[in-house]
Order: sequence, then structure tokens, then C-alpha cells
Amino acid sequence: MKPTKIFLAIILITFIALSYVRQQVELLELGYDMSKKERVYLSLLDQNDQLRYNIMALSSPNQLAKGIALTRNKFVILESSHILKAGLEPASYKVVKGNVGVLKKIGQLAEVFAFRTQAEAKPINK
Amino acid sequence: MYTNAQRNRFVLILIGFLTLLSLLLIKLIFVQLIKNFHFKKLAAKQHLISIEIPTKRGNIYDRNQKELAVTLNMNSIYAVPRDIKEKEYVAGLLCPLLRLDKGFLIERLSRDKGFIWLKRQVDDVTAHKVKALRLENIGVLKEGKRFYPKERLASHVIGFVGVDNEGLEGIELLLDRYLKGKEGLKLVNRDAKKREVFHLDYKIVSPQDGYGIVLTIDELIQYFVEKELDRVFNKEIKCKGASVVVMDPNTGEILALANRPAFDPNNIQDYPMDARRNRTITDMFEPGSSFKIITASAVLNEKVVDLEDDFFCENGEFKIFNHTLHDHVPHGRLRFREVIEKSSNIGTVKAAMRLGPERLYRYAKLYGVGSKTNVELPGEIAGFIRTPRLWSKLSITAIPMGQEVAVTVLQLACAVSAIANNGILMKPRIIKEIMDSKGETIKDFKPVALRRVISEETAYKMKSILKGAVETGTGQKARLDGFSSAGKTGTAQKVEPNGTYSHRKFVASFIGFAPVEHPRIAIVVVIDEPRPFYYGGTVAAPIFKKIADDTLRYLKVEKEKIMAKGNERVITAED
Repeated sequence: MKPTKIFLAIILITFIALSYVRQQVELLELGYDMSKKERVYLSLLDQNDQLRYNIMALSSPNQLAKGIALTRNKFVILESSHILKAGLEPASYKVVKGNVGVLKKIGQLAEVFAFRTQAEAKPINK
Repeated sequence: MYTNAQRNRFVLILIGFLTLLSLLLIKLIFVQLIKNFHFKKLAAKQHLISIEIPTKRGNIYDRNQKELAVTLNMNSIYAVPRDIKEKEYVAGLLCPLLRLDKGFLIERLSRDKGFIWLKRQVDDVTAHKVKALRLENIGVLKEGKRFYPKERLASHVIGFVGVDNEGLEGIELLLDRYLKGKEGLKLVNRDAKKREVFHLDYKIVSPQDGYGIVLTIDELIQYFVEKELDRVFNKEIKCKGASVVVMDPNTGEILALANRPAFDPNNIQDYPMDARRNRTITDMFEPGSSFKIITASAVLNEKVVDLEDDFFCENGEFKIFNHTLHDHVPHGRLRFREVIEKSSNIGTVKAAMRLGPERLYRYAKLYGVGSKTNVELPGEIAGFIRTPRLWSKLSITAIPMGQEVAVTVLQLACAVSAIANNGILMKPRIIKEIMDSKGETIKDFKPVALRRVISEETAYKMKSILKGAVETGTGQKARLDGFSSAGKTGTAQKVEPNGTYSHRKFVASFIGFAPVEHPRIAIVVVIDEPRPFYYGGTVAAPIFKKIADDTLRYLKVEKEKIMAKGNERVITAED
């Protein structure tokens, strides 16, 4: 019996020792894995920063203005001299002097048939 | 059956084996238990290293938290020259990738050093190609590099950094200690191939990233200013330089500040020193007629003159102290308000003579002439005005109309803002707040009222005069669309090297604010040596108009009702 107990004790100690070594090896493997993932994480953060920077640069007013100019060649930001203001009440429209009679008749006809006359814009120079 | 001899040999071998085993056990106990600490220490020395964790420089934002300056990680190539044996071979492989001269690389690799930079802040593609060469003692490290996504926008305010990310100009310089942060430290395990391995002994002192700086600058208002300056600078007008400041007169916050020539801080090496100067605070000039706002407010505040007082403007030629003073347009009798509206030098000087040198000087100092504004930007100068005891007999004819006195653009902006702000001079501010990397405010900058310069009543009178200058006076090109505006033109002769006033070189200016009743913005436009036109009303006032129109629309200021004649709604085309 005594030799069996000694033999079992040796096996137990050996098993514990091997488990400890295995644990240390696993810790090391996890350590390598974590280092690798940290490098990937930092690389992704850098990429994210670069993409955000691209957005910042492209959304700057200068870039947006250039973009609008390139994509909409016929689109022009109106100067104030291009803007005509229309009055809201037809009665206050000033008609061109020469066409009073004709327009009056058209106006009467329009009222009968419920058409709306088109407003006439008359620029007045200050 | 064993013989005695066989048993003895067996016992001998057993004893020998047991002795060896015992020696082994003793050695094991010695190494594992007695010398355990010593060998652990040796291993730690070999495997555990402390690595500095670089900090990230803080960002700079506009008032709406839009990034104006950021830091991105870039790759820098280093070498360990002492351990490199085939220097020529290595240099030959690297020179096409790094775009460096082979001789330069060989020289660097021949240095007796343990670490040397070969090229800093290269792009990912280049770094990847260098890594792919798998050269021993050549490596890649991450370094932060400063980028400015809006390029030239507000470049004179933001400034720029050097290759080591230290501030060299502007806010980058002035607030470098807030922006740079503090490096961290980590203790890591390193294997035989020098690879980092996470370990239970892993320790870290986190880096403290730099603080973020929020400016008072508004990106869009800054864009309006820069766009207008780009449109005119050396295109519509030939000039040596141009400066614009847009300020909130109620708080002193600088909403926009721009100069021409300007620079792109992303490529600072491509621009001359002249372009990097923040002319709004580093350059002083004789303001000319713009200074009349100080003279006028002084005489009104001291009640030596009233708005409707009559002045005879000598039909454009006034002989005084053996000197002849001219008006650019001859005038006869003018009321005092018209003297300023029509910018009569003679009328202004006559009013100032009633005031006297001492009081005029006092008001100039109250407005900040000859003193720094202490704005949070480096390189500011104070300008100058001589004390009255140093004035000549003719100084009283020169200083009231802005000669023999020198101011900066920012000082003019503060002065006109004081009138817009009902007589209270505010400290100009460029920094709104400082915040940490999580966005929490560390330091807040509140408006600072420096002093009352003139009474509210005088400010009201000045507003009406300056409004008149725009509506019927020399500043008609500063009339806005849908808003009232007030301001003063200036056309100042520059001084030639021989000390005389030039007839060819001028500084054109327009200083004003809008709307008149409740001003939201004060704008100063200064053009240095404009050609072919040089009057402030011709050159600077239209720039003021464009910027003010865009800015007030952007700020959603309610348009003022401008009634047509007879209250009749007519279809009109605006000018």
C-alpha cells in the first residue's frame, strides 16, 4: 500500500506542476493575442480619425462652395439686384401706361371666368 | 541469487545516483527558492520595459465646436545606426521609398547613435512598404501630426506648430501648455523578438491628452470674410495687404479675423514670413478720418459742441499756424453732424480746438489708443499717441483727423464697438472656453467690460451721425439690404521714408456696425495701399457691406422695415 500512495502522490504533484505550466503558457498566448488586438484597435482608431478628418475637410464652407460650383454650373447665388419683389394685392400693381385699355378688358374677362391676371413687375430705380 | 560483489556494485551505483539526485535537488532548491528573487529581477530587467505613451495634442474648435485644428497619428521611420552593418545596402532600399537622397541616408546611418529619425510623419502606404522590407534595426513608430481641415480659414488666429508639435504662432503658441497634454507610461513584457506581451505585471499611467480650445470665431462668418477678401485682394483691387475684424460689440467676442496675404498652416514652408503676420495686431497705421469718431465723441461728451452747431469749413482751405489744411471736397457752412458725415477735416479740427489737446488725448487713451488690448494672441503692439506736452503747435490740426497717431486694426474695432455698445469699451476676446478631452469645461472666459468711455446719450448721438455718414455721407456704399448700418470711412496718407506724407500711398478703411438700434456686429476693414482707387468709401465700404449683409442674414437678425414712399407697396428691384 505504501508504494501505491507514494506513486499516487508523485502523479498528483506532477499533474499540478504540469497544470501550472500549461496555465502560464495560456497566459502568454492570451498576452500575445491581447497585444495583437490592441494594435488592431489602435489602427482602427487611427483610421476613424482619418475618416473624420476627411469629413471635416470636405464639410468646410470653402469645399462646399467649390462642390456646388462644380456640380451646378448653371446655379448662381443671386445678387440683390437680381431679386424682384412682388406685391400681394392685385389692386396695388402699377400697370404699364400704354396698355391700360387692353389690360382692363383682359382683367374684366379674367374676373368673369375666374382667371387671375399675371402680376407685372416694374422695376423702379432708386 | 546475487553474490556479495554484485550487491555491493548495486549499492554503489544506487549511492552514486542518489548523490547526483541530491545535488540536483539542492541546486533546484537553490535556484527556485534561495536565489528566486535575484533571477526574477534579472528576468524582469530583460523582459519588462517602460514605454512612454504619447499624448494627443488638444483640438482647436470654433464657437460651434467645429474642428479647426486636429491631431492625427502618422508613421515616422527610425533606425538604430550602431547596429546596422550594411549601411549602403539599406540606404539603397530606403531612398526611393522615403524620397530622400542616398548620400543623406548613408550619412545618417553612419552616425554613432542608438536611435535616429530617418523621416517623420509619412503616410500609411510608405510605412507599410518600409515594414514589408523587414530590415533589421529599421522600424516605424506612431507620431501625432497636426492637421488643419479648413486650410487657410482663420490661419492667423490658429497659428501653426513645428515638427515636434510645439506651438510656433497664434493660439497654438499662446496656449501650448494647455494643448500639449502630459505623456503617460506603461510597463509591459517584451519577448526575445521584442514583441509586446500583455502580462499580469502590466501597469499603466494613462496619458493626459491636451485640452481643447474653443474660440469665439464663427466658422461661417470667418468664411464670409475670407471669401470677400479673396474676391478683392489682388483681383478687383491691387493692394499690399488687407485686414478685417468682425466683433460682437456687446461682448467683445471676435467672430472673425482675417488678413491678406494669408497662409495654409498645413504647408507653412510654402509661405513667406510676410504672409504669416497677423496684421490686425502686429501692424500699426495712421487711421486718418476713421479717428474722427474719437474726436467727435470727445467733443460731444464734453459738450463743447452739439450736433446742430454751425461750422464754417473755409470752402476747403484753412490757413492755420502757417499751414494750410484741406478738405477733399470744399464745404461752406456745415452742422457738426454733417462735418463728420461728410468727413470735413477743417470742421473736425475746429471742433477739436475747442476741446483742447489734454481732453482729446484723454479720450484717445480711454478708447485704448496707445495701449494693448491684451487680446489672447501673441505679437500685439500698442500703437502710439504722444502725450500733449510732446505735441507740436500743429498736432492739434493733425491728431483730430487721425494723423500723428498710430493704431492697430483691432484697436479700431474696439473703439467703434464701444460706440455701438452705448459707450462701454469691452475687452476683445478670442477664446471662449477651454475643455478637457471628454468635453467638460475646464475654464470659461466671460465678457469683460473695461470702462465707460462716453455717456449713453453721446453714444446715441454718435450712432445717428455715423448712420448719416452711411445714408448721405461718404459711406454710402456701406448701405445694407434690409438693415440699417452706421460707420465712418478713412483714407489716410502713408508716410514716405523721408518723413513726408505720400500722395500715392494710402490706407483705406471703413469702420462700422449694424444694425444701428441694437448692433449685433462691428466690422473694421483696412486696405493697405489700394490701387487704382484708394478712398475708404470706394474700396473698404463695399467689403463692409458684403460681409455685414451675409453675417446678419446668417445670424437671423430680423430685417428692418424699409417703407416705400406713401406707404404704397410697389414692385421694386433692389439696387
